[in-house]
Amino acid sequence: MKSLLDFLKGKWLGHPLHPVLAHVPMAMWPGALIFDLLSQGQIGGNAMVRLSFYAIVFGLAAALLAAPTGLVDWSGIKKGKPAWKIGLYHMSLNLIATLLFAVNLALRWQTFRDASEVDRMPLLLSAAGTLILFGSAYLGGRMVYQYGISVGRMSKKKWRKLAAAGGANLPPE
Amino acid sequence: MLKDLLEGKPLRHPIHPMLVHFPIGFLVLSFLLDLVSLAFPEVPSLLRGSFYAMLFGIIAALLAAVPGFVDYSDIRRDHPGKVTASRHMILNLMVVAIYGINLWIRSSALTDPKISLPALLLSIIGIGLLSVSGYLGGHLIYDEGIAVGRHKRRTRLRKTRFIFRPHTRPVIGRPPLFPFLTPNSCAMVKHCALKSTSR
Repeated sequence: MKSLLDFLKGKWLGHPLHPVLAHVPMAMWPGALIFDLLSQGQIGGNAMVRLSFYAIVFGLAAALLAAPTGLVDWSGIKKGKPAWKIGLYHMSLNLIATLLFAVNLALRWQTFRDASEVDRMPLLLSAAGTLILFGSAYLGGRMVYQYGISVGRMSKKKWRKLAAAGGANLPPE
Repeated sequence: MLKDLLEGKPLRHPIHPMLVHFPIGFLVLSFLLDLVSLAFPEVPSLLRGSFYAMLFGIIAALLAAVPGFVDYSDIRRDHPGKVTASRHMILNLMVVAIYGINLWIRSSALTDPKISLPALLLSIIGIGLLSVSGYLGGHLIYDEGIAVGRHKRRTRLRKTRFIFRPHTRPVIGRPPLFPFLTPNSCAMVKHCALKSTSR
């Protein structure tokens, strides 16, 4: 159990795993919106419709992988910290975005092989999902850049040593 | 001023890490579509999709390079992250160059049903270098702390945006979720008071 948690935290990689995996949906879903808009502008034809479909599939697959790693990272935050609440919002928004794109994918399933442009409804879902994702991603970034979640997780010992060498007043471990 | 903007201080979130999702995502998508086209040659327009994804990836990489370079120039020379950042930048420049050539090779073979060997090789090399570079970028943030909390450290105070009340105790409140949307909110007072006493 402990080793599974360490795996999900990215200890084996020396880099937190959730931010690595989060790149994919974060690029694919706004990308799908761009491809949808291009296909509506008669650019790319069926290749663009298919590309959008593949982008959503790839994004969903990576999102499902990223979810457990994110959950583990979140469970490591103390409940009283402001980042805990932000993490909760981040997770809820991500769940909504994932659901929206799952519905989006289902709507495309029948038509993407031949359609030369994306229908209105999937396009709207892409736009809504992307908007929610942006909000969620901003919160995720805040957790790292404002509250330092998962920063220094792998290099704590190194920095403690440096600080101790400089005579810093170190908090207990 | 422009430097602050490119470092994302008004957003209170660095810009380069926001933009790098796109080159990484699109270039990986392009590579995956190449692999799928090898496995399922009968599926149409996979390679065309791969080409479009690569095009978007390169454009996004060029966009991300601008704030990335500003972030790079802001790392002190004696910081251990400077070496990592130099490697990260050199690798990224190589990746963009490789994908530029790759895109050019593919642009003349868009209707081919099968991927050409040089294009596939360039994609493999490109993805390899991109992975290493991305890892180094993550190392910069998660191990060396570059850009973490930077917006808290050195944001210049602007009279029009922050309410400064030196004689009252700072209002203790939850910091706003999206601070750039509510720059005049009460919760910023705490922020401002904290910052101004630290100067």
